[in-house]
Amino acid sequence: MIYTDLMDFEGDEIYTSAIPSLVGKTYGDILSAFNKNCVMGIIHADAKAILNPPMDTPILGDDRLIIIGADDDQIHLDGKAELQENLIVSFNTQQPQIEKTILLGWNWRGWRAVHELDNYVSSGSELTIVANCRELQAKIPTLQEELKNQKIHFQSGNTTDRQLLDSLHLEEYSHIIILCYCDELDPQKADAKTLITLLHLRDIEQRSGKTFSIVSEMMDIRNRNLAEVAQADDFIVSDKLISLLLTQVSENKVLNSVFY
Amino acid sequence: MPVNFYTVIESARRQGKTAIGYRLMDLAHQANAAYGVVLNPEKAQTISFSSADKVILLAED
Repeated sequence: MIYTDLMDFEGDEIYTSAIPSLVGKTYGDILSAFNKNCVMGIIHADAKAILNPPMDTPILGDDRLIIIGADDDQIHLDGKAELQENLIVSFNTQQPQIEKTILLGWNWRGWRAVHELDNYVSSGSELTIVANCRELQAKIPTLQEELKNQKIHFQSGNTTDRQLLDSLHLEEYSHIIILCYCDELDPQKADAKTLITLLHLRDIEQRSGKTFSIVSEMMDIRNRNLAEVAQADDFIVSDKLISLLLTQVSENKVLNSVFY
Repeated sequence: MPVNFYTVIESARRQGKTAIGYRLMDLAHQANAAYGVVLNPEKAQTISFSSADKVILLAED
């Protein structure tokens, strides 16, 4: 949702802009310099983009700021920090939490997704993969070796099957990810399977009285609207994101370094 | 307690994070309300968060 919102040309997008009057201040200082824009990071003269740099990073003369705004001519330095200091509470630094994630379904992007996830979770976290995919089973030991933080459990099975889904104790997982079977099936059939799984999950959720966190992949943007009935927390429509990314980069080449 | 987004940004800054928006979970399933996601809010506006709502942050981990 957030990525789509930033990348389509409706609403707000990401712009880069050099703002001479902010040179010499630190990144932390300038966060509140705008009322209707939001600073995300800095692009240095070497064209390297740094999102969320250390707060004491100084703004140099040839830096460009990465800014969210309605349009590139709509960037105004009109912020005034009206702090409600009494509302800021410092909370204890959180202990790293062990997370249990379950991945239902599989396609070639799964490999990359598992690696990315491994960078986020703390050591000792668990990842259960349930998929109707024979080749994957043989590759699991290799995948496990490449991971630093997660222990993988693999179970072969049909992820549209209610009995199987019921047996997984989904309420024990902090995150549920659904990947579509787009390697073997055409987009419509792959999305149909994902939708069936989603509907079952929502039913299981309602019966258990717990709230699930579900991220689901969709091949066809039109099916996303259909899937809203199934109320996923988020959808990733791969092709749409990539085409949006291409148009944003074509508008502004510097953005390429922001997205990577 | 209504809070303005300057305060949210300052609160995140003290933890080394950049706040860029928020998500109101009451609207999480409403397509016409962007599923509750608000990016780049006007900072002077005040928002009444509930404990389920989330702040969207850029952070290392």
